[in-house]
Amino acid sequence: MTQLSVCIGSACHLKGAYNVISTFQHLIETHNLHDKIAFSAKFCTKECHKPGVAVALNGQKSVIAAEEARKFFQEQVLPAVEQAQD
Amino acid sequence: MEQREFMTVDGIPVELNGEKNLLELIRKAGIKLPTFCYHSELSVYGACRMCMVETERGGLEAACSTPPKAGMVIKTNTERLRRYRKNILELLLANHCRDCTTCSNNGKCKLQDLAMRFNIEGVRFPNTAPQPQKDDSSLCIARDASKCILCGDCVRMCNEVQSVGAIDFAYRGSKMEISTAFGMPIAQSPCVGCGQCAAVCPTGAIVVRDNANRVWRALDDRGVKVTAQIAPAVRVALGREMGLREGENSMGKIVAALHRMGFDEVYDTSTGADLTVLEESEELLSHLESGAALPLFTSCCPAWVQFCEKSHPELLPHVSTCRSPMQMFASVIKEQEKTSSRRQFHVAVMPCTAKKFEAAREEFCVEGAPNVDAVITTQELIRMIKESGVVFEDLEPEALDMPFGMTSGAGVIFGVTGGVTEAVLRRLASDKSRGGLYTAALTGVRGMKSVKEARVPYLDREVRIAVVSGLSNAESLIQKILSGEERYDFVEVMACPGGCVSGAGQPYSASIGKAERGEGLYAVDRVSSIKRSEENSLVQSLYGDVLKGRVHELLHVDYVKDGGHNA
Repeated sequence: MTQLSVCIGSACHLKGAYNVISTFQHLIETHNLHDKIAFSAKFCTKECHKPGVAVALNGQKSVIAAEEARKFFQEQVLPAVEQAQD
Repeated sequence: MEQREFMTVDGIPVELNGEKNLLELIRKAGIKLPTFCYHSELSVYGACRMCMVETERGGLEAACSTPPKAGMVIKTNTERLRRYRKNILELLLANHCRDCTTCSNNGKCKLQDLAMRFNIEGVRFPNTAPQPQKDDSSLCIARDASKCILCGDCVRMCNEVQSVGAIDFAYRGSKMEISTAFGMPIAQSPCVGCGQCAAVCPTGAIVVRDNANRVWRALDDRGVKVTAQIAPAVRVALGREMGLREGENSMGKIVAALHRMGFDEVYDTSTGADLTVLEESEELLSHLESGAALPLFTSCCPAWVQFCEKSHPELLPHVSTCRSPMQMFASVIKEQEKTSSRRQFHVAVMPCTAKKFEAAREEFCVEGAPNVDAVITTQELIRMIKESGVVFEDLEPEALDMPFGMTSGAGVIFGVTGGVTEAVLRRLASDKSRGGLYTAALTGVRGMKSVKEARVPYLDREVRIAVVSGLSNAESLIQKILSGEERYDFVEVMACPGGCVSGAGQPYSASIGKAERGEGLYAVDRVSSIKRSEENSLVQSLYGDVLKGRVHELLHVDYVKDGGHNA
């Protein structure tokens, strides 16, 4: 299972963490990936000073702007799920 | 020095201050003239002649349709006027159903009020009018022409304020009646079920359908689990009827009352509204990205959806596929409770009459059973509370039940015009600080104006938004959109002027009261810790739970494909 998580600490919250969560949920539903992605929210992963919402894909941390959630999912998460299949 | 203008009312000089008719001016002299057909928010008709006043030379003027003029001398209470007013009432009562004790408008009838006020002691004329057929075809309103006094308020409301035109005067003279075209049952007419005709009817000729008995039967049945959802607009409208201030939030007491009456679980439609915000925001974003089918119209108002189906079917592809908050929530509740050993009966308490129609729509039934088993209006709720004997003022407020009793401020403001849009703006904004909330509030979507516009930056573009309430205002806006004069990306349409707070199921209130109710909702929002729909963790958890793989089936509807077009 591909691990995907979003930080919901207060700094990330202000930067739009819940928008990211909502977008990811919608895309998981649209692409029917409930059984392939373990999706969760996590409290403060200590990336507060970075410019964006902290997300982690299979343990790899990064920050994304809330508006780029869709792009991140399509360009990073979907390929990771594909890889996990093989 | 400015010239001050005066006229004389019963010997008292009264200053003219731009009043549009004598009625308003006379009120300033401390006199309230009796009226039937006059309604401050409809055009003047001048039919009932109750408000006549006598001029110096013995002439008679209808105060509602006469503009004040400097130097006019009028009397409001001469022997002639008292005799005429009594005669008018007597004649109206002669042809009127006088079974007041069994009339659903008992105690709320203008004819009763004026008959009492003028001390009518007897009616000399027998009722020779043929007994008309009652029209029970609509799920929303019931018509009984034997109680009609032909004031025309319903006609003016339906034609002028709502531009639906389902009813009008038919025939002439003593045969005159209010009718649909060709006398067809109202359910088959262009009627959209908004119920505003019932809201302005001074007698019991048009009333909202009553479904309280269905609810009582379910409450009495121990094999049935009865759940309820309460719409946002209901909690700020119990005002005067229950001894509270207009616009005061009485949600805690409403929940307590429902618990006392036997409801197993009580929830808040605001939770469903959060689902609607999340789904509709995604829909708007994907439309903006692809550029397809703009503008996107909201779909939470069932009267608007019917208006679209009957008058503008070409716009149906533009109407959001999202179900209304009531239906989204009912869908989830029914699905979650599917495995319970008891039968489920779900009740929605709404400010709205059209919701009675929406609940019965085939699209919202699962294997023939509707998701919402009964819709009761605020007025029916008040009657049920009174019938149960519970003293509302003495109730201690109680909280919503679990597992669905978590709400957000964004969901609560759905009840006022501009609320849906503001909730969506809060979701779309990247600035989730408190300042971001103010930004959304100050875009121009708040307020009781009939049409509001806003332009909100999103990424590299500007999203053009329109918020409209009242169907004739919506019609004008639609014409501008169809002709290309105006372009919008998102349009919120509410059939009732002012939004759901002015719904026909609410206790009647004039404009000031409606504005106070709207303010009451924004006040509830201010004290909600969860301000945005996406922050409602209960709603979030539903996506990974009961909604998994079934978002489209449970939360969306295709009016174009599956809709039962009533045209």
